[in-house]
Amino acid sequence: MAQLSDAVLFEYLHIEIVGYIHRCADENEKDHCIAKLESLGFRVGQSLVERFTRESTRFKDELDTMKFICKDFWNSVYRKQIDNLRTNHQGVYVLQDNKFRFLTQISNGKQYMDVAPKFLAFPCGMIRGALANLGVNSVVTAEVSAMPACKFQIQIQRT
Amino acid sequence: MSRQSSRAPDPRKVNGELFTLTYGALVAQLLKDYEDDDEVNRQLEKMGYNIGVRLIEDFLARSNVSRCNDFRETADQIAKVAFKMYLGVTPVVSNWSAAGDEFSLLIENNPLTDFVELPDGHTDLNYSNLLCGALKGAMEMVQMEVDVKFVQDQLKGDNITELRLKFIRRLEDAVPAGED
Amino acid sequence: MESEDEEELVSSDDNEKLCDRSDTAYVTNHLALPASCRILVRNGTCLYYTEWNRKTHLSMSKDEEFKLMYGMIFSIKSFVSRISPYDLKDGFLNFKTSKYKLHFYETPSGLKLVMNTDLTAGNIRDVLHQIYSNIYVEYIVKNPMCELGVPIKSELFKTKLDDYIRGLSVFPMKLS
Repeated sequence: MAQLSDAVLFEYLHIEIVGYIHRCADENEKDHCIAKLESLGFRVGQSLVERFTRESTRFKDELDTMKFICKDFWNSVYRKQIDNLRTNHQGVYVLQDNKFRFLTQISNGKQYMDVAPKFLAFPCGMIRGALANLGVNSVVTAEVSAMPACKFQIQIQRT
Repeated sequence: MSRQSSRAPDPRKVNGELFTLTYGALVAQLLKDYEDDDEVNRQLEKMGYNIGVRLIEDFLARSNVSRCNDFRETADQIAKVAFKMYLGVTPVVSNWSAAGDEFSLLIENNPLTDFVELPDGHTDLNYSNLLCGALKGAMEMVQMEVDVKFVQDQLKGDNITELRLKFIRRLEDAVPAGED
Repeated sequence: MESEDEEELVSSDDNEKLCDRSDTAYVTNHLALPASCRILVRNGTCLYYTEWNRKTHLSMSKDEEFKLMYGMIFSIKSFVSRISPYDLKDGFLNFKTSKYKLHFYETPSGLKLVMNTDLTAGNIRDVLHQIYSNIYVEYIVKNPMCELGVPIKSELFKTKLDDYIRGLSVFPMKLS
């Protein structure tokens, strides 16, 4: 199989997808756009994780799965690892990326802060999709207080 | 510890698949949003154009190439440098027109179409139309207006994927106000 | 190299006023002291202008000055390419007056970077290429919030450019 070699193409494509989804919606449909991006990300995360785990054994527990997201998954998608992983041991995990790839070129602080959610919906969906495919149901949200740092919160849904 | 390594494939490879998968998700979304294949083609071309005008700057910054002297040199740069750099494939440049203003890029394994099967009833869809837009956008930034279209597509059962590029005109610098 | 790539024009009074740096007290190691930098696009729009230690300012508006600058560069470019006996690869790189040196770098995509320095500057093509590839492409082209071809508003870009210039070994410590 041919191999695409460059991350920049994915970044530009992501920018265009965000632009497209927002172009065909009006102002009061913002939440709808975020949901659409999230579900696109979900699909991608889901299929991507299959490429990883084809030959690997199952993870031994939830924490092990999270470590996989923080290391291998993050490294493949964003070329770096998550900087900090925390959990309350009750199903909430917080992944902190101090230089989140999709934000590093936008701002180094508060400028353009209002657009940050647009660029985080797809990544949140990707995490949720990847986890879903590994048998973990979750809700993923993102929080930014100063770019380019970003915190992803994963809340495990147990039924 | 050995388990650790078995589940970590080459990040570069996964990153390429990531692009292909994301592109696939986008096309699926467009097919949902528009009934008409032509409209999907138009949207893909538009997004490609936007990518092209930005990607060319990245290309120039990295490759540090200077301006091409003629269209043949341009064709080589596109096939041997740009396609290789961003898509990991090197198309063959061929089928030059007699006037030297038109050529084809023959692509053996289009990476955009890995894992893809065209859904039924979408005969007019040019799945990889993003490429046409990207080439147009990028060329426009280096002052060449070109027309780009698919003439063959492996997804549609052709033996090869063929992109046709036609030179239309050179774009010039704006003349400052008050001069001719 | 000399004759093909470097053009020296005799100073004219008009040009001198653009950036007058008569003292060289800040110059260390006989290297360049950047006074101003501007980025123009093909249609002549000035995307960005900044200055560090420019000593003289014109009475005209910045807009007028940009127009003059673009007109002058346009003319020099076409003059240089017309009188050259060879096909120019890089085109015109810089010129000197008695008071300053103007450096010019143009990408194949028509982006033009102009930097004025004092007379001691050598060839700073590398610096201009770095500004293009590591700062403009990185923080403008890859920033979805920045439309291309319109004046630059990104704070991140401003900071990165300023840091880069101030980090050059030629930049004197005295400057705030």
